[in-house]
Amino acid sequence: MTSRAASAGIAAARALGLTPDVLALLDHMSLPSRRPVLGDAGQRRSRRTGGSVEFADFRAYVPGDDFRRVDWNAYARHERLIVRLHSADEDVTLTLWIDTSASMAYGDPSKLHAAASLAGALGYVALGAYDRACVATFASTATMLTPRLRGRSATHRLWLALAGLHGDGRTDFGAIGRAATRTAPGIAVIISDFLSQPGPDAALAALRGAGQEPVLVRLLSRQEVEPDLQGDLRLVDAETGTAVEVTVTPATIAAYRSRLAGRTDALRTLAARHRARWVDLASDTGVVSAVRACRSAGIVR
Amino acid sequence: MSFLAPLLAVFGISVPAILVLYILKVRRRIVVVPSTLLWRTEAVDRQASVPWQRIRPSWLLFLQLLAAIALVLALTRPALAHPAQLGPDTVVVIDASGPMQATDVSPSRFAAAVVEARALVDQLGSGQRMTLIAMDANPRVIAASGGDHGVLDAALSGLRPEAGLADLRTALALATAAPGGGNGDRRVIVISDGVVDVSGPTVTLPYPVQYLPVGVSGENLGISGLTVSGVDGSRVVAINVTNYGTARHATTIETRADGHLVDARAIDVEPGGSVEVDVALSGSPHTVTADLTPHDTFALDDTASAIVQTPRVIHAVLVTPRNIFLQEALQLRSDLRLDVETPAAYRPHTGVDLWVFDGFMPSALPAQPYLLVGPPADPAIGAGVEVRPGPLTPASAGDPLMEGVDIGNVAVAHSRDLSASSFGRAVIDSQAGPVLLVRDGAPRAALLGFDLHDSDLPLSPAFPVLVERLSEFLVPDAVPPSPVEPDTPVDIPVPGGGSVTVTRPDGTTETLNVMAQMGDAVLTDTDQTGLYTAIIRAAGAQQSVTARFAVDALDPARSAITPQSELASVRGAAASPTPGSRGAVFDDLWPWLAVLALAVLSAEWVVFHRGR
Repeated sequence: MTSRAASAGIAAARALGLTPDVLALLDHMSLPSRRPVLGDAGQRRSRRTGGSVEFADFRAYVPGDDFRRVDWNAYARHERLIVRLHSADEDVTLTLWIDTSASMAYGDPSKLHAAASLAGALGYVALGAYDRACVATFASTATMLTPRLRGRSATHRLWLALAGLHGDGRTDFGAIGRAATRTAPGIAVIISDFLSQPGPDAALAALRGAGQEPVLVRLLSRQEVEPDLQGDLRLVDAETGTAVEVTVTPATIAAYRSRLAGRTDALRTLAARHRARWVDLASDTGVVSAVRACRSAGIVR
Repeated sequence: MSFLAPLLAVFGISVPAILVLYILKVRRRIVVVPSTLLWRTEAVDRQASVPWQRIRPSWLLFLQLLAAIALVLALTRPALAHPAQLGPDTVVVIDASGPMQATDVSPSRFAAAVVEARALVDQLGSGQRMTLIAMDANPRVIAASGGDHGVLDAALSGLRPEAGLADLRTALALATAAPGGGNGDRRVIVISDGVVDVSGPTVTLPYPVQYLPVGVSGENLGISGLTVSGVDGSRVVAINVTNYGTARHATTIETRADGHLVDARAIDVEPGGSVEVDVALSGSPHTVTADLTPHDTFALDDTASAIVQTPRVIHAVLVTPRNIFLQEALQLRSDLRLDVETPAAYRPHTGVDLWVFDGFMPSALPAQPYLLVGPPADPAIGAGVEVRPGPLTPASAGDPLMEGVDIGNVAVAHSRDLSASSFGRAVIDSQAGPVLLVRDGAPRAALLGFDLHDSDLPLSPAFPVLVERLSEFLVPDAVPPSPVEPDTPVDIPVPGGGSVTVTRPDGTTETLNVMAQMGDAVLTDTDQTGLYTAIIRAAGAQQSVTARFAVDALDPARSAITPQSELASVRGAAASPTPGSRGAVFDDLWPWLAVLALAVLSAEWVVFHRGR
């Protein structure tokens, strides 16, 4: 990686709120795995059978790989760095699904910025622990922004990808389901406001079917949690353009809160049904608090 | 049913206005939100793409329409009509005198009279007027001619019975003089027990007079006299109890001195008879109260009080060469101790309550009250040369000083010219100017301009009366020495001006300010029976003087409370016209509609806040 790219990555990290202090805090964290997962050689135990030193395969060295895994004999024969893979030491791929629909552009700071910051932090944790990470976005369609990155040096690329996000389009969780088979097994973190219908039920099922361990992170802006609207209003949906007319009174606000609480309960129940972890955040929470919430939920440790 | 204000039905436009408000859409501010997912159920029935919307069944709409209809109906004043019982102009005279406090009807005659008066007010129809007159010792109009039920009811609510005797004659005069009686369709209704002052000739009114009697029984036992005689240590209270009814009655007289019970005596009194009870008092009490227990249906005369007073002695000094007429006239007063001096022996000194200078005027007038008779010419008092006064006349009619003093035939040969005198106000006048002046300031003084020997006044029966009146004026009692009747004005002398604070039997106080020229405070609010205390503060005086007097209802005319079946001494015109010509009375329904509207609006408020 060139120094120019590194500088751009550091600037992107700063833009995402990932300051050196924050990164120092993240250095002490790593990804857990609630159950054995399939993956490449790495730090985690595979659910495949076999001893811990059982040879599985070779693959080319990529920056960030542990030098201890380099097969120096193969290097002597082929003059290429080859890494030995073992079945019991597979690493985890962390797929960060970020909702980039138009609704994510709202809030102060915007929900999309908060989502990018959290994704940057989680990706840094994964890559720092020799796990793999990739960033994907979804709105109307799913887009893989990065390949599966590995090694701490890849964090700059991850941050650069996250810093360039912008919100547009309508939320379609079906896009995740359709792309789930193209992602490596591991942990799939979906960061969204989940303010769309239909919900993520089908996407979660698809992820589970693809060997993913799903995590739902809901981000809402403070204005969505505590609406400060009043009077006779015509509310226009930022994604669909549909309008509803309401007369906002204290009773209306109370009813809104009640429905928000019902929506939260429904999502929490859905997550439990799919054995997915659930984290509920506000966009103004801050990346450190957000990561701590993720640690409380068992997403990092 | 009739509508008394049908034009106000124009406010019925509010009903379609409400409907229009529900049809027209509200202009709303556009706000882009991330998602309308959580707002959608708020707008299920409000979405439309046109400026109007179809009216949907709504409790709010129903309640608002119902409230608007009720309010519009109330504005039009729907009313149920029925024939009027009163004429177009009715004057109701309500007896509020002392006997109306009798409780032979529950709760009292007065309360029953007010109930009857309210019933008459309720019968008052549209276009009809009513005047309310309160009849007691001082009759007055309490509600001028009008048809406002609220005003008439308020006047009745503010009316209270007094203690005096009803002055029917004045009340009827007010009824005649009330505005609006010119067209002859007035009707006078007197609600009374008939216990009224009937002195004087029969009153004839040009209007029909209807008498609504109140009261059922005239049985009453009352105190008709209370006097205290003797001196300290051997005083005797004489209490007279009279039975004004037609049956024999027994009672107990409780006598209290300074609030302490000193005697309780059971007596029987024959119908129409009286019993006198003498109670000996020991010590030196200040007040005595007699009480008949238990009280009968007329409690006003069941209690009487008196102030125990030591008869005062007025020390008067007559300075005269010799005037047997004046000396004899002064000595007629039993409470006056008279010393006679010659002008040569005159020396100013204290301890004198009244100086009388006859044909002599000291170089310096005394600080005590004085009477100058036939003074020499002296500019200090405005006494000029001698003139022939001619016939004498009272300077002003109704002067208490001239009460019972007939000077019509008195001749005076010579008198000092007092026409330029500023000594005081004239009491007796003549063609040559006043001959008797009095001064109300401090000290009080009187100036008689002629020598008694130059007049036949000393030979007139008016002379001793005039001398007594003058001496009473010059040295007045602080307060009435004996009990006065309720509603009787009480003069409290304050020579030189000042103020008087009177505490009534119920503890309320009233302060009367007295100008120096007036000399008297007149307490008119004496309707309560019992003991009054007056604190007199003369202008410039360092200390105040406390005086007490009693107000007792001892007048037999008041205590004879037998209800009368017809009003004596009153004759009205012929009966009123046929009832059919009296118009109609309307029972307003708007208050009920207003209450309905209020209830509906309250329900609308509840529905609005629960449904949103």
